[in-house]
Amino acid sequence: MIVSNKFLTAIEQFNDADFFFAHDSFEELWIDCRTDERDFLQGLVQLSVGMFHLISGNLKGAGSQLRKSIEKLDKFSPEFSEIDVFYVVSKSKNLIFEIEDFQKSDDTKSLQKLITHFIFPIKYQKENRYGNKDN
Amino acid sequence: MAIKITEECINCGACEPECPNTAIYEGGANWKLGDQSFGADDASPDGNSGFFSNDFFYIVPDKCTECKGFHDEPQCAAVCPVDCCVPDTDRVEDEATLLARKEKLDQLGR
Repeated sequence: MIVSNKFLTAIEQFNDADFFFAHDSFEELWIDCRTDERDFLQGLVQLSVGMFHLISGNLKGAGSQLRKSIEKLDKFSPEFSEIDVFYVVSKSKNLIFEIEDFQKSDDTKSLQKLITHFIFPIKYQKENRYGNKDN
Repeated sequence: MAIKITEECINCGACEPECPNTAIYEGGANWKLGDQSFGADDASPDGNSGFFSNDFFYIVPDKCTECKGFHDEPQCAAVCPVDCCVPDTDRVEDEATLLARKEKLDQLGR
């Protein structure tokens, strides 16, 4: 169970689309972590970096980071540290599909549209995987 | 083989201070070998090219020993949070070559 103020800050930064800062915050936690949760934190670092690359237009880097992130986070699905990991992994897989589709297309979709429609939040605490509040 | 940094790099700089050979440089920065300085368009003394990056950290193959002679594993890869320090399959080298490079760097200066 990783939950701490820094962890919550990192999630907040991610959900505010401050992906670089989110990556930084998750990375600080990852550096200090010496337990099995280390992979979970690295998965969140890579998820944040994948999103950062996406909004920066580095689609190749985005796809690679999201794939690495899924590999690590999937082991913690469906839920870990009060995060809906199942949701994150599902959405990441969908985003990779959309990125690949975008790269193959003749730019029928704009990058902005890809970002607007397929970037997702990290669902934390009492929200379930369908986006409803449990409490 | 030398290690290279891929375009997944987020320029966090975690790798740079870990390199015992000072083979890692920030994007756009000139690199050094002994008392010589090299820029983007300069050929390396060992004939390597294509490794310089203006956008993210890069590793100079002339100076990378994969940490042979220092550590059990490449330190850049060990500390990289995004796993973007990877073996460069275009520059495959055996252990003897890497250790000889370390010796050369020891004498020449890094």
